[in-house]
Amino acid sequence: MKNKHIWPFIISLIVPLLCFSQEKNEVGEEKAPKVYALRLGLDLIKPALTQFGEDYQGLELVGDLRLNNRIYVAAELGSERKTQQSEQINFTTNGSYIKLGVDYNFFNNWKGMNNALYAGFRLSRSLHTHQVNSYTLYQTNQYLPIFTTEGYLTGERAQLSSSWFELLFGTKVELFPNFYAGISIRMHALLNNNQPQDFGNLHAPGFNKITDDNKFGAGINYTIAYAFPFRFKKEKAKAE
Amino acid sequence: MCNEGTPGTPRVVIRFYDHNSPNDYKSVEGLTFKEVNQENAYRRITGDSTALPMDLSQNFTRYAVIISSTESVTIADTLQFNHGDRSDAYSRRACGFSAEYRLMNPPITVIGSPTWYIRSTILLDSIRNEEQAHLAIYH
Repeated sequence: MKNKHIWPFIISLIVPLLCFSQEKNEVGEEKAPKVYALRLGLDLIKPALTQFGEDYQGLELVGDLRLNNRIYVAAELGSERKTQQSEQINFTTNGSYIKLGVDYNFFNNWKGMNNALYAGFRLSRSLHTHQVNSYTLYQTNQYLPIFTTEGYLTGERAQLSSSWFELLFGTKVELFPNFYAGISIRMHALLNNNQPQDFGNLHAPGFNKITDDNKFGAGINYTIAYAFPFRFKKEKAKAE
Repeated sequence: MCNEGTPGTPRVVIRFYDHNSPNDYKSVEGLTFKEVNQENAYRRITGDSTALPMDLSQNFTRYAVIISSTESVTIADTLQFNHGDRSDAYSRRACGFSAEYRLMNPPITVIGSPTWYIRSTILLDSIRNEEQAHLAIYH
C-alpha cells in the first residue's frame, strides 16, 4: 500500500546523505579519526503527564546516531495509553509507535562543542486499539435527560494503525560531557489512517488527536539523553 | 460541535387521523405533550402531526397528553409508546453515535381510561429518520 512507496522514499533520502558524509569525511580523515556517537534518551513530558492524572500513561525512548557534524539518523519509540472524553464519546487508546528519520544540524559548533540546532523529518507508524468505554446518543432535541450508554457499540476496536510524516525543529545542548537535554517541536501530517468498524480512528499514539476534516497535528518532546561515542577499528587504525 | 442539520437519533413522527373517517387527517387544537417524568411540557400542538423524542434507555416512553388544564383540574391521557430493537451507528467525531429503533406491537398502551385517544396503527415500524410518519393516532 502507501508504505511500499514510503520506504524507497526514505532510503533514497538517507543514502545520498550517507554517501555525502563519507566522501566529506575522507578529506578530513588524516587530521582526525571519525567519531560516531550513539545517543540514547528519554522524553520527560510523557512520564510527567503520567504522574499528573490517571487518564494517561506514556513513555518515549529516543535515539540518534551521529554520522558527522551535520547528519544524524534518529528514531523515537513510544507507548501510550490515554483515556479521553471526545464530545459525547469516552474512549481509551492503547498502543505503540515508531518514528524513523534524519536530523540535520545547522549549528556551527566551536571546536569541542557538541550542541545542535536542527531540522528533521520522520516517517512514523502506530499500532493501537481503541476501547469505547461509553457514549451518549446524539439527539437534536434536548428534552429528555441525556443518559450514558454502555453496551451496544461500546467495546474494543482492535488492530488499528496510522502512519504519518513529521517535520521537526529542535535543539540539543550538552549540559555535561556526553549528557544532553533537548527539545523538539513537531508538525504531523497524516498519510494513512485506517478506520475501525462502528467508530472512528480519533487518536493515534505519537500522532495525538485526529479530527474529521484535518490531516494535521502537532507534538513536542523534551528529552534527556546520554551519548556513547565510538569509532570503527579500521578508521582508528588509519588515524594512528 | 456537530453540524446543524446532521440527523441525530430520530423522533417518532405521528400523524393525527379522524376516527370516524380513517383516511382523513384530523387536526388537534392545543394539545400539550409532556413526558411523565419531566417538569416541563415538550410542546403544545395545533395541527395534524407532531414528532416526539423517545427515551432509548428503556423500551417504552410515557407521555401525558394534556387536553385541558385549569388550576384545579387537568384532563390528560397517558400514552405509553412501546419501542425496542435499538441499534446504534457511528457517524463522525463531532456527532458521535446515534440510534435507530422500532415501534413494537402494540405501539401505544393506554394507562388508565382515555378521553381523547381512540386507537393507533403503525405506518412505518422502523424509526430511521423523521422524513415519514411512523404512527397514526385516531381521535
